[in-house]
Amino acid sequence: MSFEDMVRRHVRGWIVGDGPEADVVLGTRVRLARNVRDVPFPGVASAEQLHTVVDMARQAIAGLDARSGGPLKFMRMSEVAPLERELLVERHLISPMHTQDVREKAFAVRDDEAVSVMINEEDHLRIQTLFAGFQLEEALNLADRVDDRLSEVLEYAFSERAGYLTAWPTNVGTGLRASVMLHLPALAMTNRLQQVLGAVARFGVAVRGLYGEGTESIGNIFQISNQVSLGRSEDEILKHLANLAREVIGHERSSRQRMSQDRRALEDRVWRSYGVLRYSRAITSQEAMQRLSDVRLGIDLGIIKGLDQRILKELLVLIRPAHLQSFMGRELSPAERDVHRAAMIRERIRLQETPQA
Amino acid sequence: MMCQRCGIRPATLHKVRIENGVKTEVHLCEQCARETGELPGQESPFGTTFEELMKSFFDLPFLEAPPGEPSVRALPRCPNCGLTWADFKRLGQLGCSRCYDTFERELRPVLKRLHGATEHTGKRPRERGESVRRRELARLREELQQAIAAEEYERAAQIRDRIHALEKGDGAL
Ligand SMILES: [Zn+2]
Ligand SMILES: [Zn+2]
Repeated sequence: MSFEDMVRRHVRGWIVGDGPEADVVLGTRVRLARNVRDVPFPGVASAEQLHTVVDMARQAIAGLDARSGGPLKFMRMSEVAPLERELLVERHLISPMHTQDVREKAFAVRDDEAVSVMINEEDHLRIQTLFAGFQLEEALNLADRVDDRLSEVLEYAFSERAGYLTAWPTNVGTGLRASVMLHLPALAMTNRLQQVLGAVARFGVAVRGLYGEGTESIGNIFQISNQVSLGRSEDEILKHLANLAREVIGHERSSRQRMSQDRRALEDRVWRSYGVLRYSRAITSQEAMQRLSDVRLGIDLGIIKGLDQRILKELLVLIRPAHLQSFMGRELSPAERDVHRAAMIRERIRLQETPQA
Repeated sequence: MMCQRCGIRPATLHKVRIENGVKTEVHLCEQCARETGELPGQESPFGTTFEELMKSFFDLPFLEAPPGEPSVRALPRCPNCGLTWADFKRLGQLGCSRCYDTFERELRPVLKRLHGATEHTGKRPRERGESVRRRELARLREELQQAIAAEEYERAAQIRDRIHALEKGDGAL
């Protein structure tokens, strides 16, 4: 597979788009948890019951047309090769849990990956929409259209009092989890991250780092999402989350502005990171993400010109282990991955750049 | 139990720690747990860790009996999926949609703590049966008017019976 085929095959949808507030907001995700009435939830149901849910979901999803968010391609997870499953995880289309014990699990996705449905993950259905930039309303609208159409075919578990009934009581009510993915390099560099994120966390949103493995945030990417799903309408939940996200965006922008007043240190850091990405022969994913974060900030602040903003989001996905192995067509040891990761990044930069150093 | 750090919010993280033979208990609210590093700030992009946390603390004396209730009451088993309240405390997850009825009384304080509310105010599923019923009723009423206008009283009576049955909810659609 050529590099360009690889990119074309794997990078689409929210990853290549920009969307509103794209200088800080990388993407928006909305998830609706839904279950079929009276059938036990996946954690408890028998294989036979889960099989029935897969069949019902397949039929319902087949009815999704362009007006209702479709069409979606449906697949049983047992028919998806293990490496392909990992690719789906790395592209945020399924959870790691959905790759384990794949019997009676299924997945459906629209060609542009903006709409997907996990079947028999923790709930019978988890409808997901993904958008570039800050687009909470759009993401909910699309999820709603899918949900409405599915509810005409499937009889949902719903109670007047508790709303949509879900396996975890943390999701009951609206079943809605809305998340905004933020790139916050300036807050991190000025050590204001803790303060700002701590403040918004006090207002009932969850704050998480992306791909966090230790306690370090990787690539300065954070996600904030609603914690409460019951007792507030979908619109109220989104409004609350949007206000807090706007708060964080504002702080990040003011930090960037302040930082760019002392341009020399910043430029040095940005160009050093650029140099590492441009010339290194082996790089860990952790370092790559940190350097990419610096370079992306450099692009946003006009220090680096001629390089596309989207390089960060694209490479965040392309340098993950399954994507590297898919590109190389074989399994790679961690050391080999570092080498191929460096090569992929060099290639990606070369494809685009006309920088004036 | 209140959070031992801030004393404001209810403690949701409970830990027993044994250091140098000395046993200490830790009871923190989620926010203090995060601020003191008891709760890692890093979580998967799929948001499972909050749920995992739930799992770990449901096991502990979090679900006390509601005040004024006898502390032990024989709890039912969900007739649909067989889950018991003890199972729920162990798993953190419910077994089926009917568990919400079976354990309504026990769940209410849990929901209150998680969401600050117990009543849904958001979207409802499209009422499939309902809208079909409404459409059918509208059509029958129109037909009834036509029958009366045409002085077809026998047919009008039949239609009226059908409307009554539908309104009572026992008419087949
Ligand atoms: Zn506290
Ligand atoms: Zn049950």
